[in-house]
Amino acid sequence: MEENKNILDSLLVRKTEVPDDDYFKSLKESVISSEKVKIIPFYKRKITWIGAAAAVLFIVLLTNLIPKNTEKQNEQLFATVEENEISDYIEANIEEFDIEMLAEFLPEQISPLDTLKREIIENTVMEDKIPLEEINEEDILKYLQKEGLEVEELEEETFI
Amino acid sequence: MSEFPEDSELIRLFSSGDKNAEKAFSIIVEKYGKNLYSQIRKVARNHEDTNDILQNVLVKVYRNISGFKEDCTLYTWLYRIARNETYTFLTKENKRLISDFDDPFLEIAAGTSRFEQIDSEEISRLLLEAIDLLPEKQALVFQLKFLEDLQYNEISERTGTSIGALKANYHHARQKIEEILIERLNLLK
Repeated sequence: MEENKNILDSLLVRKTEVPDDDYFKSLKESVISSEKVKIIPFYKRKITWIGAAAAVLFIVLLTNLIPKNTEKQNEQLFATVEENEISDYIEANIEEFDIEMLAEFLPEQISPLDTLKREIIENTVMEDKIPLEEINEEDILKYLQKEGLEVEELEEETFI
Repeated sequence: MSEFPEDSELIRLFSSGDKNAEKAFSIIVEKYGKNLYSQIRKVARNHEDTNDILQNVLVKVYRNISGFKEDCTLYTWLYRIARNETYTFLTKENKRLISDFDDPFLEIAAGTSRFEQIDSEEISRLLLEAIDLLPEKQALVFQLKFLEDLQYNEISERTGTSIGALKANYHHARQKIEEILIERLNLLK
């Protein structure tokens, strides 16, 4: 009975047509020649990675040397700046400087109090030597600025 | 007696490199090329795709045979590569579901009425799908016995499995395939 017969027994397998020997010979030769002449991508070569590692190491060493030289150069540059240029700069930007920070940079033997005393003495000496009428307006304004006083404020006080 | 060297000898020859590797590879292609072609062709369905797949398989064999651990026979290893490469290729090319066989490898025997609804192409496709569902060993034995019509001693030599074990494998494979085909054929009715 057909129903009892297995399905597979009702099937015939056709022989697969296989190419001749020449096909396999040329296939084999093409595989061998393609594998022999294989170009290794740049990133897969060991020498690329060794070179990259050497370059990184070189850059790291170089970077570590540079800051010391730069610091020395900066010190040399600062040494060439005139003192009066420095004091002019400080005067012009005095408000931006932190007083405590400035005090840090004063020489140890000079205390801020000594500086102030010196200023007062200098001012007093100046007053003795130069009559008031002969004092330059500009000098007055500079002095007032130095003391942190505004002309407008003084004028107001006078009127009051 | 086989005219070709033993597989272990081929592997040793390949590992010695250069000209010996080429010689060993040539022998492997000569020894197994036609079987691999036949195996691939049944699934790939046309010569062009079979050629591309077989080329990929042979390239993989050439590159990896030095690392072959001999935990199975060389032919089992080749079969595995061919099977995987075939499915990868067809999936990539989106061809797995198309049943446009140049030449269906199965024919329905004359006088069979149970296949009224389907033709050779369809039954070939159904059988391939059923084989896909088998464990690798059973699929290999079924392919070599049913589709390639090899004798048990030849299959034993290729797979390194005893004839008794092969017969058991084949019996189980046939049973499973029968069940799957009956189920699929019933669905088509």
